[in-house]
Amino acid sequence: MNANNAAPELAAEKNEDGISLSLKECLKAKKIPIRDARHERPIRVFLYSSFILTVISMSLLDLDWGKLAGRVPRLGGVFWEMLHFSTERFPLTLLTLAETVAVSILALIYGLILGIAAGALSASNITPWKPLSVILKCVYAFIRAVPTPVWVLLVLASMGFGMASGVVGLGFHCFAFFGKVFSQLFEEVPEETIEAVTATGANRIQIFFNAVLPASLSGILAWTSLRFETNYIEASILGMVGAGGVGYTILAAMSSYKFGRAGLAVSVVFAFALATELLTTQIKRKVKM
Amino acid sequence: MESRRAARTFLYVLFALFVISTAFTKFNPIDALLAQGEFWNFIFTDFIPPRIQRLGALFTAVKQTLYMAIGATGVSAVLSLILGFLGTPAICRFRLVGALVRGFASLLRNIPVLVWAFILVAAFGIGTAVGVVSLVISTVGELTRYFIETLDEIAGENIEALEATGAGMLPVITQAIVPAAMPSFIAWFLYCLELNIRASTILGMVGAGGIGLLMTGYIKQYNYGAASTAIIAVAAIIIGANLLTDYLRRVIL
Repeated sequence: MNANNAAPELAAEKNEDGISLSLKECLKAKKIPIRDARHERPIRVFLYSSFILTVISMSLLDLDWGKLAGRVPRLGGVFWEMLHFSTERFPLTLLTLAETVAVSILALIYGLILGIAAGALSASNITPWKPLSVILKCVYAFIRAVPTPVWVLLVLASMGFGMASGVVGLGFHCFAFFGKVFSQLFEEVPEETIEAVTATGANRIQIFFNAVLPASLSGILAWTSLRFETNYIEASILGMVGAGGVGYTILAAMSSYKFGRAGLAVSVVFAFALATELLTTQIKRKVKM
Repeated sequence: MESRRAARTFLYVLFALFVISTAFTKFNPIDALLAQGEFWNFIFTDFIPPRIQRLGALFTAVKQTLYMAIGATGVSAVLSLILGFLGTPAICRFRLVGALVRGFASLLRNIPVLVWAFILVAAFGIGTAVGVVSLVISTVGELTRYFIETLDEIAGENIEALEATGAGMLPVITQAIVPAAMPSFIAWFLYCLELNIRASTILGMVGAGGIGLLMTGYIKQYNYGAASTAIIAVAAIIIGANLLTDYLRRVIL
């Protein structure tokens, strides 16, 4: 009985809604409302202006297209030589690839631990002190705004060459990334969940471990696997600024014109990246992000 | 129960990876922690205050970086749109073409942009063109993947329903699929624009021009004050780009 009474009331509410009225007008004019000018105009303005900006940027860059086109055969030559894989020093390539993977894993794990702690301190619903949340979020924004290779260059200048610099520099960026993402994740935990645990007399740390963390587990898992993909790509180029790893092997082979060796190293990097991408896709599908 | 088991497996895997990697790299977190003092000391004494020097060169480099990122993103969006339609099985009926497009896109995006830049430098020599082309290569790889995902989601049943009304393929695409896909296309476009602004600042490190080239040069000359100004400029560009794309997302989507 109650359900029957509620239905007409809902319908009446819908009639008073602006959207339904305009729909009614459209139907009166025997038109089905497909186009919504109010919504379409910004899209059109955006498309036109990005087209114009692209054309302007490309022309201001003042590239010599003729010269570029003239050298395309040379690019073909480079690719051709790279495809003639040479297994010379292949064990070294594999060893440096393992270094790269190890660096990205360590940076991921240290970043993850620090990021969860920082995320808990900076999520506005569970932070112990509101201004701390704002300060930390500004810190994340700044750390993330400086590209990883730059951080690694700075760490290199003070800690010396080697994998440790890669771990610290990459981990630093990772920490800021996780701090930002996890604070948003923790803020999405419903207020009721936190209240329910608070009502049992739990303290802050208990609230975090019993209510907030379990509720955001699948998100943490998905972001971690996604970040591993990024970390690996970032770690593989760190060698080019001097932090070791497979990037250095590619750099050394390319600059001594050993294209076959470089080609094999690039394909190994590619194969591993493809494997992590497939793994991430699987994990994302499983946790349905 | 299910999620608890997943979390436990996740933790075990992470712990095993951690032990193996630590053993392999001999990375000692205590050393890293102790080095922090030296690191921050270095930052605060050598990098602060930032020295403003050759402001004209800095300004030109910033402009060049922005042109590279915007130009490359725009060009890649057009290319990826074409590839996206060819790579969506529901739209392009030639299975082989679709598989080739997806494989090609995967090859482009899974080789890091700096590696592409390196290969291109070997062929074209150092210059801005290398930066633009390598950005286009990796962005086409990324955008094609996302465009195909979007189109796949929208196309499926819509095409069948509309074709049943007698509409041809072209009207279905221009009147139904493109308008429906446009908001996510724009969202991915903005995402790639942000990525490219980030990437174009570091492409300079391998000689592809822009602010990265200037910054690496300063660091190599131990001119840390000037490098600090360049780094702040990079941070400002990226934060500015973030704010702009956030604003555009709010207005358009």
